[in-house]
Amino acid sequence: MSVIALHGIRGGTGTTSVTAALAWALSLLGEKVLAIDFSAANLLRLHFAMPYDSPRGWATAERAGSGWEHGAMRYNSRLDFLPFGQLSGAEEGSVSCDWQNNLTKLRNTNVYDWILLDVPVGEPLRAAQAISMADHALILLQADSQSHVRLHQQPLPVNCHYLVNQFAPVSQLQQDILLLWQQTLPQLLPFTLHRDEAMAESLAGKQPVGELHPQSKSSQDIITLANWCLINLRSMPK
Amino acid sequence: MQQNRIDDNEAKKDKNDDFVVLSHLFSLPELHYIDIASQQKIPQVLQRWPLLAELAQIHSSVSATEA
Repeated sequence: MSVIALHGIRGGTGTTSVTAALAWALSLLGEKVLAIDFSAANLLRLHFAMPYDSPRGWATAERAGSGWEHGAMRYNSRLDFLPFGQLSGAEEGSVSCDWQNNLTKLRNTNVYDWILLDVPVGEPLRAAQAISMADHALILLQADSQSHVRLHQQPLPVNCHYLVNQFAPVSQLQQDILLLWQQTLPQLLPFTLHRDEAMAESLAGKQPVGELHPQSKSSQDIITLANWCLINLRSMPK
Repeated sequence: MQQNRIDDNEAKKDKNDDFVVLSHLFSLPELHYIDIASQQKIPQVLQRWPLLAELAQIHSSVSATEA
């Protein structure tokens, strides 16, 4: 089982959509996947067709005393997800859950090949904890000046990989920034996820992009990412 | 009844320790600016965008000092 934390270098990099899409693509390739939402914004579930007004999630279950696993949802035979759950700000502050221990339990069950963590930008402590538990971290960047400046001033997980999302090849600036990163950022993945309306539509359509628009550029890009994960990040069964 | 209370300072110390542990897992990203000037096209990129040039220059001089 490999645990991957997906985390934007800042808000708005499309991390949640990519997490949902990658989870779906890995399941399409025959892997067993669990996607966990670590963000109190609780948006990942909407990519998996969950009704907006359902409060179900791991934090809600934990707070109710029934245990985090009771928040889990099955999307298809190979893909499960754990929504965060709907809590007020005050309730959310009081949730404490030992995820290190939970992940060890999940590892011991041998059910999942992959666990994807959708790690929030606006909640630094929870983000740092989630990333420290993961086997690998994928940091999402947009090829723009703000991401570039942040790379120079923002501490990021040691040994993380960088993935450019929403790349627009028609933009001179984006091309230039990508070229510069290709020369200077050794952990940059050798492909990008392109800007594509299909990805933007995936939340509105309440489905991962590969399922909503199987023929789209985004869908192809995500399959590339899933295969890259299979080749580079898969942990060998013990 | 006093004995069971957690000392505020002790509790804070624990929290700080968590931050220390986490801080070891994070650092500024490794950027390899050395010799980029010799790469094709990069000088044009830096000429086009002053901000990129500024960051490249600061980082190259830091790398050179460290090396």
